[in-house]
Parts: sequence; C-alpha cells; structure tokens
Amino acid sequence: MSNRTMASLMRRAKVDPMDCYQCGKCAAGCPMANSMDLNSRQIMHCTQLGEAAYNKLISSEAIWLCTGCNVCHERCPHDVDIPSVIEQARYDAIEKGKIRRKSKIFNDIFLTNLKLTGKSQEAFLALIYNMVSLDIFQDMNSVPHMLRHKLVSVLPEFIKNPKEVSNTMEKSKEWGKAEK
Amino acid sequence: MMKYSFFPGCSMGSTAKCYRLSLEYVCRQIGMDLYEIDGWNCCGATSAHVMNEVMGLALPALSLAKAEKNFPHLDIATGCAACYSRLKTAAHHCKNDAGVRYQVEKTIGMPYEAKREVLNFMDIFGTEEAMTAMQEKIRRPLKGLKVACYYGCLNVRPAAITGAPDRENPMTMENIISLSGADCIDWSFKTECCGGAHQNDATTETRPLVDVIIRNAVANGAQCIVTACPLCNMNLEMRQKEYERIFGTPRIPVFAFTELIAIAMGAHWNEIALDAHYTDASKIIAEAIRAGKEADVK
Ligand code: SF4
Ligand code: SF4
Repeated sequence: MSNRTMASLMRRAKVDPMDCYQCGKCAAGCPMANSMDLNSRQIMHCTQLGEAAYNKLISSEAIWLCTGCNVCHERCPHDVDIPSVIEQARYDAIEKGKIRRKSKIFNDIFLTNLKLTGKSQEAFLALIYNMVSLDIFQDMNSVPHMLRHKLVSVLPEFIKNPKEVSNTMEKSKEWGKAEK
Repeated sequence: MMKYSFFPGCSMGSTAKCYRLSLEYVCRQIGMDLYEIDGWNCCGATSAHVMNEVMGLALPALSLAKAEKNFPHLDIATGCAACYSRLKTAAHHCKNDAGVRYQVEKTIGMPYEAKREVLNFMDIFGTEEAMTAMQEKIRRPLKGLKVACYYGCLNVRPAAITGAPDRENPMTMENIISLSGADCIDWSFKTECCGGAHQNDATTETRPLVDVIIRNAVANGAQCIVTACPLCNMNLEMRQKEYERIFGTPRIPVFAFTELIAIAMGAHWNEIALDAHYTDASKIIAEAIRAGKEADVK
C-alpha cells in the first residue's frame, strides 16, 4: 500500500500543490461548495499540507459530492486541475473502503446493471437505488408519465453483445491490481 | 459532406424520445446522414470513471473502436453531454498518450487509433453548411418566442478536451436557435451545473442547483429553456412539480434544441412527440407559430 500517499496521489493527478495560492476563486464558482465539508480551495490546502492531511482528504464527503463540472479548473488563475486531484482522491478512498454510502450504492447498481446489459436504464436504476438506499419514493411520481409516453420500458433492454462490455469491465479492473 | 458515425447513448432510446425524434427529423430535412455505430455500448457515465480509471476510458473506446472499424473516414457524433465528454476524453488520451492507448487496446481487445474527432450536435449543426441547409428549410418561424439556451458543463468544459472557444458565454446554440425565428435571451446560468447523476445520490445537495437555473432563466424573460443533453433536459424538466412545491420554482417547458428547429421546419406535433414533455408547451408554441404567420402576411 506504499503508493497510497499524498505524494503519489498528486503525481497521478499531475498537479503540483504549490501551484495553488489559495485565492479561493475556484470555490466561489463551485456549485457544490455550500454542501462540501472541504471546498475546492480547502482540498488544495490539504494537498499542500501533504501526508498529514491525506486521510482528511480521502475521507471527505466532498470528493463524492463533486459533480465534475470543471468550473473550478476553468476559472483558476493558475490552471490548477482540481477535478483531477478529486478523481485520484476518490480512487484512493475506494481502495481504502472509505466511499460515501449513497455513492457506493448508486455506482454499484449502475455498474452491475451495465455489466449485465451493456446499457444504462434510468428508471430501472432509480427504482433499485431507492429500494437499497431506503429513499423509496424519490422521483417515483414521474414514473406514470414516463410509462404513458413510452419514455422508459418496463423490461431491461440489452445491447447487441453485453459480453464484450463485461469483459472490458473485468479487464479494466485487472490493471488496477497490477499497479499495486 | 454531412455524414457522421452516430453514438446514440442510452437515453436516446428512452427518456430522450423527443430529442431523438426531432434530431432525426432535422437530419432528414437537411440530408444529413447519421450511421449508428453497430454494437455500441454505454459509455459508463458517470459511474465507470468515478470507480475505475481504466474502465472510464475503455468503455467509450470500445464503441469508438467499432466506429473506426466500420466508418474509418467519419467523425463521431453524439447528442449527450456526458457521452460526449467520456468519448472525447477517451479519444483525447488515446491520441496523445501511447501508454494509455496500449492499455485501452489491451483492455477492449481491439485496435483503436483515435483518428477521427468526437463532436456534439452543436458543433455539427453550427457549421456553415448545416446552418445554410437548415435556414432553407424553415417554413414556420417561431416569432417572439423567448428562449434560454442552456449548455451545462460537459459540452463546454474542460477546455483541454472540448476545445470550446468560449466557456463562460458560448453562443453556438443561440446561433442555431435563431434560425427558428425565436429570440434568445441573455442570462447568467447557461453553463451552470444541473447536478448530473448526483440528482440521484445527493438529492438535498443538488436540487437547489436546478432551482436557481430555472429562476434565472425566468427572471430574464425566458418562456422556455433549450438543452443539448438528455440528462440536463431531464434534470431541468422532470421534477418541476417537486421544485414548485419545495422551493416555489416557476414551471417552464424544457426542450432539446433540435425540437424548436424541427417545429420551425414544420414538424407535426405527434411526429416529434411534443406531448411527452412534463410541462405543457402547446400554448407558447402555438402562439409563436401564430405570430410568425401574422408577420409573414404583413
Ligand atoms: S482558484 Fe486555483 S489558485 Fe485559487 S484557490 Fe483555487 S486552486 Fe488555488
Ligand atoms: S468540478 Fe467539483 S470541485 Fe470543481 S467546481 Fe465542479 S463540483 Fe466544484
């Protein structure tokens, strides 16, 4: 596990922590900053503190709330690629089993379904997500409209060759293992 | 030559019915050919790249490799901002990083040289050739209709991937929509985030994002919003009853940009499934068509 450190995270993210001068412009434009336990500027501050703040960063909820909208990177006067840091922080969090509960449920359901069918089926996913996460009625009042106008199908749909997709997904995971 | 490989993406077959029907209608009108990639698969957005770096590149590359094999001389078109971002990111890395390309080719079990461009439909309909062809087919201008063009994030950002010339105030969609005769308003939230897939797993945090987008559009006089992405469209449109109840958000129809062009070209209501919208749009459209006719008579 020696390569799961702040230094290696930043190497993989291809970002130099000292490029950030803590101006906060990124967080000012971030749509999720209000809900984040660490906003984008604070995330960069963690990376500057180095190993001492590594756990704080990868255990944060913020890295799972980031929508990947790229506003922060776009507006940063020093071109700091914060989404890249967040992406790598998430991979480390997954590795250490620190993934946010609802994100884990959603992503697991999404990928299991993708592996089986090769496609994503929104209504199906939403329904299963609600049952597992116990948010039973979330978005369910839209379902009658969707069915009436044939916007979703009741049965899952499959692509031509789902096996190719599941093979690709399995092989992708092997690279991760080889790196460790 | 208006011919493209076409990556429909998962939503085009389901929730984005109106988008797909109107897109196909406009293509038929102007003689643009879209060749659906045989055996395409889900690009993985947004879970694959969140959970596994290689998977996030390999899944879109699998479809791109098929497009390259079947139509080596065609660029790839896609109508979803998330698909566009994932496909274009995979193509970008495979093109510029031999290590990534090796890894991706091994993973998908196919060669992939990333020779062709990935384009969204704003790139495609925004070309001079397509704009001229569309202009000639407008039969029923939508006069006086006030439209807010919403781009969202991934059609414009990150710049290194999209190459979009203006990321804060893009104008391609406005240029296209203007062909329909409608008026595009100036507003502040055209590239703000709709929350994307986090509208599923972080609802309390992301619901307010849509509230402020809709409010800003309405405050600047918009009667409808147009998008260039099925997920943006769904996020802005589907939960408006809920928004009205929780935040008091005004209700407003949300279209794919191709729908307004198709209507102005004379598409019949049923032909492009206009009644499948969550918020009734018949009044404002009928009014704009009537105003267009009157202006014509004068
Ligand atoms: S905008 Fe850039 S320099 Fe300023 S705090 Fe954010 S990352 Fe640092
Ligand atoms: S990419 Fe993430 S951190 Fe950056 S502005 Fe968007 S939500 Fe905020």
